[in-house]
Amino acid sequence: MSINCFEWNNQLSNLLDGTLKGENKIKNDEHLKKCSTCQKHYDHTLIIFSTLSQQKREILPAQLRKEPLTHLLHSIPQEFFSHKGKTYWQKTPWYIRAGTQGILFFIIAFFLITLTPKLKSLYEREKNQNQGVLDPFSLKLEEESQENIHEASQQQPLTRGNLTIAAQKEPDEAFLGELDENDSETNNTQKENIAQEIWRFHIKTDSPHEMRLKILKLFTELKISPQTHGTGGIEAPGGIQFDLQVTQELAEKIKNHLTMFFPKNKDNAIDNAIDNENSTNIQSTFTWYKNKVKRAQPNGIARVVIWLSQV
Amino acid sequence: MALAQKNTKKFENILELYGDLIYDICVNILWSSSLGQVAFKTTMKEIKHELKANPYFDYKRAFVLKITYEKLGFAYQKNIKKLTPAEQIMLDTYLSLNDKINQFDSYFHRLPFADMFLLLIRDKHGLPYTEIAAAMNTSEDSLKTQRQMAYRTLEEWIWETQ
Repeated sequence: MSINCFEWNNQLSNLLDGTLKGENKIKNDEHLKKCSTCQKHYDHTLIIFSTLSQQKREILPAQLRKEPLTHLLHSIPQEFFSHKGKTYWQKTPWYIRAGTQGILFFIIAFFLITLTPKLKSLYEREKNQNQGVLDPFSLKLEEESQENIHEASQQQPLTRGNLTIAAQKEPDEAFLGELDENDSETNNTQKENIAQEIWRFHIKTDSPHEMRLKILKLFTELKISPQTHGTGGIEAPGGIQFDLQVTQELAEKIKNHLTMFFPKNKDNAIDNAIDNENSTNIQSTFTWYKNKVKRAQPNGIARVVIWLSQV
Repeated sequence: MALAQKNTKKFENILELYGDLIYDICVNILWSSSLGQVAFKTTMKEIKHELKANPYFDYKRAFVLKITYEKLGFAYQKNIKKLTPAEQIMLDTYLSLNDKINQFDSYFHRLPFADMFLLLIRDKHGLPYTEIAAAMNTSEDSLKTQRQMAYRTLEEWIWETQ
């Protein structure tokens, strides 16, 4: 019984080595006579085998035989015999890698846990600043300006009293509405008919005393004389009030500075101005409006009332 | 002192017996005389290190071949000679059969490292399967199959048979 091509292929290595003997060799020879494909493969294999076995053998050079361990070529890079593709990190022992990764994980977790509330508070502070809510951090003054304000506050002492005169609206006041910078024409036309203007500014703040320092600084910058009546402010239950008479130009400047200092929330401004006492919206911390009084006053003089209410 | 002298003698003996064999394998597989010399020296250094570490071990040819196989494997991975596309096209299409047989080395070096190592020490140097299996850490039957497959691969490249 002869063998098939698959079985002959399996015996090819033994056939080349000459280790096939007896019945196996006879079966292989019979298959080669019958199968031309296997015969062709065998011929090709013999050619390759003879080519390989007849290749010239390299002989160890005499110098290398004499000094087999010296004179390693320096031009060969050091990584010549190193593991390919393994980075320094991969070659590091597993316990060092695991330890390092664990420590890094805990450090990152620690920072995340500790920093998240701080970042959140920073974000909320930024948001509040954009919405005009007073931020105690923004009230930190530089040392020099603090000294100046301190001097100014000493010159303009805070007095105590009640606010029956200034904080409440006078019976003959008429609301003119909040003025916008674009409303200059309306403003001018109204000026001619007004006997006296009352500019009312209402600032809700956490610390009226610190805000008072700011206002004093503003007065100093606007060169309002410390001798002007009412520049020191009056402390009353619920806050501090400034009530002073200045020129209309100065009143306009005070309005501009305070508007810049507190970004305006236009949607709430008019409502709050009309119904100021009932306003509960904490976001609209700064409102202002201008009233007129029929009482006769010298021309060009306006009354400015700044009310710093405790939130 | 006596042990050191004994080791030196053993090393010289190994160099005398297997130096040519190791050098030939290194040069043929790396296909470069200079790289082959470096690989040979590194292999001999490793053998000497092993002699020092295990002085009472009886070092036979299989063990020397095993060290050569490992060291040469690293060197080969770092210095694979890849043919350019033009050379590959030339080898696959334009050459006649005689030219292809003359260019046998180019086809031979397309084989994987283990196949080249096996064919060299089995067919060129005629070493027994037992030693090759010990060096390559595999079985004799696997080596026979691997050898047959390597032959078939070379045949496909040279004669373009399928």
